[in-house]
Amino acid sequence: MSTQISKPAEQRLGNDSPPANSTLVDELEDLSIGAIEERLEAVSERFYYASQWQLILWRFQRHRLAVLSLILLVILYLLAAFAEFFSPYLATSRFTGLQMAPPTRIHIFHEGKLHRPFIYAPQRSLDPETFRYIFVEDTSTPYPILFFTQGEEYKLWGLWSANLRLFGTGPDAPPIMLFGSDPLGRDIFSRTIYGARISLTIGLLGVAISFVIGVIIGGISGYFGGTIDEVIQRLIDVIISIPLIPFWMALSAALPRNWTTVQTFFAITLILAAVNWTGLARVVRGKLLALREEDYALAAQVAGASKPRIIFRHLLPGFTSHLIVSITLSIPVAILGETALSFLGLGIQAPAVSWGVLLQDAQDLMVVAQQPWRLIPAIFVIGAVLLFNFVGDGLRDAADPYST
Amino acid sequence: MNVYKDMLLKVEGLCKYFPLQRGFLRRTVGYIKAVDNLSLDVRRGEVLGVVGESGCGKTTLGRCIVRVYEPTDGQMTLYVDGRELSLTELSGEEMRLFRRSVQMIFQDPFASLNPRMSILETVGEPLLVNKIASGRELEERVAKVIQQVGLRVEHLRRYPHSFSGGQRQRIGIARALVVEPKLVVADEPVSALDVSIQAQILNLLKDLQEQQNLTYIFVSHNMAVIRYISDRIAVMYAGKLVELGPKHELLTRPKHPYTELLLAAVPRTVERRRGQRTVTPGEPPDLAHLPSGCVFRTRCKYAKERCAEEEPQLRELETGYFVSCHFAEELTLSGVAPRVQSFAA
Amino acid sequence: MQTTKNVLVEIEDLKVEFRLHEGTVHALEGVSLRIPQGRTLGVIGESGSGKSVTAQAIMGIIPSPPGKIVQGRVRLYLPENGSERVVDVTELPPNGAEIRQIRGKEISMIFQEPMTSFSPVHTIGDQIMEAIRIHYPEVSKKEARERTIEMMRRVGIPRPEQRVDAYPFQFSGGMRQRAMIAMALICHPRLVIADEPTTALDVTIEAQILELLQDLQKEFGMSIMYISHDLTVVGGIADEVVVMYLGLVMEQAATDELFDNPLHPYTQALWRSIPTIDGELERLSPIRGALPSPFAVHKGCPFYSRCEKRIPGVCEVSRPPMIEVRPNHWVRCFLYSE
Repeated sequence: MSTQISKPAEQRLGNDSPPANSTLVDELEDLSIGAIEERLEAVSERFYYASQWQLILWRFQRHRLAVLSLILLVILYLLAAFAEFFSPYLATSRFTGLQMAPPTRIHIFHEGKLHRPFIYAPQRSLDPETFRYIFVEDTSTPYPILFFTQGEEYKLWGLWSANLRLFGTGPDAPPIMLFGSDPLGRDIFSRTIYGARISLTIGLLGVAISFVIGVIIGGISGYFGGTIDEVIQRLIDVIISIPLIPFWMALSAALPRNWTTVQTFFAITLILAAVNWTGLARVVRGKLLALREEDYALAAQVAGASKPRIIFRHLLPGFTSHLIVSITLSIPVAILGETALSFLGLGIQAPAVSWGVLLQDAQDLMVVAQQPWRLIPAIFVIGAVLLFNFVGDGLRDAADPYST
Repeated sequence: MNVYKDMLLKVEGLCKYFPLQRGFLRRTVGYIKAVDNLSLDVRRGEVLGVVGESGCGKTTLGRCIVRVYEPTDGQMTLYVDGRELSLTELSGEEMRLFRRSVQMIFQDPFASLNPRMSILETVGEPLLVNKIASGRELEERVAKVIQQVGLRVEHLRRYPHSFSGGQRQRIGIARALVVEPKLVVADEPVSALDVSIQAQILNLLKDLQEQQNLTYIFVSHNMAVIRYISDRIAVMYAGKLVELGPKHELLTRPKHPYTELLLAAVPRTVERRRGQRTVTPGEPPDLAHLPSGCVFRTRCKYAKERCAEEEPQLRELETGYFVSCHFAEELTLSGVAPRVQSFAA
Repeated sequence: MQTTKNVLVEIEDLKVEFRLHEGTVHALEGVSLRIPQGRTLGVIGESGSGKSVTAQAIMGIIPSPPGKIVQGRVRLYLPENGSERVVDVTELPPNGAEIRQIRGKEISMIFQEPMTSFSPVHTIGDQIMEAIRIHYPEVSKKEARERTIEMMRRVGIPRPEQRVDAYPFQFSGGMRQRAMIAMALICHPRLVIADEPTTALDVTIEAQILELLQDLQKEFGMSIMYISHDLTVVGGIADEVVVMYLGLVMEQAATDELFDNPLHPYTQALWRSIPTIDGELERLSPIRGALPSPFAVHKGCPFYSRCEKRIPGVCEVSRPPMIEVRPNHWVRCFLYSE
């Protein structure tokens, strides 16, 4: 055969089938194109029958960084979901005598001999010149790190009592504090993982709420058009033009101080969503307006399809992929929002833990100079935001599988 | 009623004005008269070619007929199943009959298929939403029409992205024909296709028309395509119907100066050299600011005072031949002299 | 002046590939053609024929990556002070000073879509005179403006003194294309490449633009490379025609010869498949099949799968050479080999 296919790819099939009545063409057809087509079909069968979501998945998979980021995000959310299991201690457990301790070092050599991973007990003493605590390791006894060990009692998701922890040092050994401790002697690693729970879910929940508001308002705007559209768009203009931080501050300052953690949590989520929905509403409206003019929407109308069918069967699937991208990209905004509010002392309040609360604890200059480990939660904030952006980027490229 | 025996569609005084809105409050400052006071009738089994330059209103006319656009004014009557349907006031049941009777083929084979629906879903949609068929029966009917347009049954579960432009246009044709309509409005169905594919689609449309006794309103800017496919030709200019008549007469002896100009501008294949293709200066008028009187007078080399003062009405010059020009009787205009007089087809 | 052979551009065995994620597109598979001085070469081709890539190669604007010139030469013969300067575009750095001196001054281009070819934020006049400002910095702003107005008048834009300060959206499609032509001609280039310049225009406007191009050619003596998918349009303007298919020149001849006496099966099939305004009104005979996938690799003749006159065992095995069947009438087809 003269024609070889260099790669099974997004290509059209090299054959228009013959016109209905032409026998000449039929005859010739069998000679050549049929054979080529068969080969082509065998190679790219999968592609021809692929639906939109399969195409998006295939394109997304080509985006290495996005796939990696997605995996890391899933791990992050697993950590948050099973915080009790992954963290060695409760967020509130205090270790007296170990306030402001630096990250515990993990050793594998004891007295020159290879040993399973272990830690030494920290000894605190006061530096006579600077009057600062210094920690030295008491190298006499190694305390091995235990995996799947019994630790402090906890209630998983407030439902089941358990005490299994991924790792720990056992009841009589000194604590393992991977990220060091805070002035109250609490393990920052455990607190970071517990904090992820609030910080990461507030992003999801906040965006879920803005999604609902955004789709409804954007849908109304794009579907009805005209004056309603004009009013809504100007309203969005006004909301967008409000400076974000002062607006949030004003709203959260209005929250009653005696609310429970859960109440505050939902209130903060709503406050974040109150601004976040505008972007989504714009996306929905713009896409609706654009797609309404698409020939296939007209074709559906000519076919006799009802308005709801046109919207839900033809238009909405046309931009769900874009919506997912917008959502992915607005989650980090909500996470940063929570962090910013809590950092300013206006969001989540202690004793609840979030990344913002942890950073608020660490917000004075002395900390940066003397206990830099207390800023480790900031790395998590940056990391989570970056990961979401990478995933969003990959999704954006994959979202429209028909663009090329 | 005998008059309407072979009448399929009657359009009377059709107007479609698009409001021209300006400023913050979207005040209507004027209208674009996309189609203005247009009357014509479409006969059963014929191909009526509608030709004109961009902005002449030919697409708007087609979209009014398939009821995608709401006409500003005018009457459209469809004669099907021994009934008279007034297209501007269809009841629910009449609407379903209408959708079964009138369908459309679109220009852009890439934009007119929903990329997220398989061929079966796309072609089957008119059957489904009009409650004509479903399930097994729907699939069988779709398979039948897919074969009629020259595609294979195995293609049914594929998505549009796996087809070439020509194949997609076949799918679009299948979608229009699956309900076995009486009238099909084809809006530039070959303009977006490669040259070597156009003839396949034109032949297919012609074959299908003969086999199923279809009636086409074939909208195109391409005079050569219109000449090939049409029985009668309607020429539009700036929202008005300026001339309507049987193909042969209209092409060889046009009665309206615009038709003459249009024909003169089409590139020739037999006499290619310059001079055969006459160039006339000027451009179509801005639809929001039409000249007084005859809309064509600004480009018309025969224009007289009367043309600026009085708007010519469409009138029947001879039986079945309509022109809107004050001087249609006096002018002797030149059309296209074909190489071989084989218009019998 | 014997050396010029009256050739302005000579393309020799040009191969261009586009390496895309989905595979490699062999856009040009060894194209050779010459553009004579002061005359019009028409290039006919469907999508994927490589006609626009050929134009991009002459301008030195093949997007790279993914595009890459794999082999071949694009020589420009530019008369200079009585002698001749030969420039090989493929050897110039794509954005170097030398090629930028050539683009806009020696060669310019007219695009299909005049709306997107103009920047919406600058006046038409500023955009037309930009080429003067770049290539002739010694010309004063006032004089550049006068030349611009003169050129706008020449291409038939009414009231150029006022419209020189207008913005593109204030022009109709036809007027924008005239402004585009003024922009292309403002430095009196030796070659104007017109890539489907009338495809977006109405037929009456198209006729005006074609006439204008021909008049301007008489006046300024530039060569025109006229690219179109529309044979009838090319037939009306070109002196010589090249028919391209999937990255190869299939046939080349003087216009009348090619129209009256097409030799290549593809050209013949194309002629039979188009409806005409003045030909016989008979059933069209379409070219069967569709354009092959752009990723397909053709060992033999790329038209093989659709050809009605193919010779199995010959045509798909090796690529047919260009054969001069009649004087100056070249065909790439085994039907005409010994």
